[in-house]
Amino acid sequence: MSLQMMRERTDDCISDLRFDQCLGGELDDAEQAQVRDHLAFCRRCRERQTLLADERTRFERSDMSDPEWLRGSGLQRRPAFSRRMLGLSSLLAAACLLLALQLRRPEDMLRTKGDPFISFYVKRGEQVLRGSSQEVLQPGDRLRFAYTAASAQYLAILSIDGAAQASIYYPAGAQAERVEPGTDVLLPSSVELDATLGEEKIVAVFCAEPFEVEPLRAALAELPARPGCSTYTLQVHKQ
Amino acid sequence: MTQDAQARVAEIYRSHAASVFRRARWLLGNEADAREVLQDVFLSLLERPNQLDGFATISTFLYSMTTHACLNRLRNQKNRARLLRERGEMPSEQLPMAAEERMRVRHALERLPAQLAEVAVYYFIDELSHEEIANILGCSRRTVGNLIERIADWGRSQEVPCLSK
Repeated sequence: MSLQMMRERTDDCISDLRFDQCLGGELDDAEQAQVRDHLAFCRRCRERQTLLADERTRFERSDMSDPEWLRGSGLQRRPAFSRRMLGLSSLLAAACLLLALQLRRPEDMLRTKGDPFISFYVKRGEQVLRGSSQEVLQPGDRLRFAYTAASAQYLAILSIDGAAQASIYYPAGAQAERVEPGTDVLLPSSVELDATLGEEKIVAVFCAEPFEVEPLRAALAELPARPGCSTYTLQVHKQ
Repeated sequence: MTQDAQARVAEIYRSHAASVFRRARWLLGNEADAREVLQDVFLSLLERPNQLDGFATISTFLYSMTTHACLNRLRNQKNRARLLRERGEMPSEQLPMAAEERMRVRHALERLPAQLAEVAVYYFIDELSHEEIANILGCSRRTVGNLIERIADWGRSQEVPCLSK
């Protein structure tokens, strides 16, 4: 949104609205591919994307990212941030509602209600950000996964990268690891992304019974349905 | 409002609030006003979630809501500043604007007729295509083109180069 950037803009360039729709999970596969293809050769749009990402990060770290007024059960307009005072009862109501809402990210909307799922955090340099599906990542980024499950499960997290190479991200052993019920529980290890660029699918397999991970990795491209199991897939882009 | 609807608005806040705040801060030139617009936009959505109906995407709805909220606020600021100046309580150069270039754009937006101001925001500030603007406004691309021509005419007549294409 600088006038200097506007002067450099071509008709094919990605508008802020398009970037926002992309981040909001509103674009279909073909539209996302268009955005990625354009970013691959347009310096102006890559710089704009970086600026927008930085602004989003600052917002997510601010007090605005999870405001009390959004969690409050009363819907009447309240005074502005600087003049607002909440009583103890309002705070308690807001805290209860937060537990009920468990704000979800776009990728979570795609899963069946109640199914276990994973999320992840990205460490890039000294920064740690919460990631989301369709995230643009870089080689060298470190990912740390978290899971949410209503019951105890056996979990493995695998990946298939842009070169169709399948890897096991979690656990380190041959057997899927048992995880206890919990919300956004961090797993103990992290993985560093290698230099292979392109789309990468990250697949979490949750099963009620223990299972061997290596056979899954070998067949990841055509992951078979397993009775008593569910899968949850994230897609990221490495560039 | 059902809890599902409230949860849905909370989801939208999580995925889109940063862009609402970013645009509001650019348009208004200060964080305090942008925070209030952010709150107003989402409280309005909490009160009437069916406002989303008829918009192609959540983002197009939020662009429209944010633009209207900011333009209203700019006009209110302008009127407030005029009243203060008339009462001798505020010199004209004390208007709270930051960068010179942004200040010129904001002053132009305050003076433009309402419909043109909205299109000017989308075209000159958000850099949207005619098609994207048409989707937000719910009109044809030809209409958008005509409105942009009217803005450019206005910019030339008022000697506002930044809106003259």
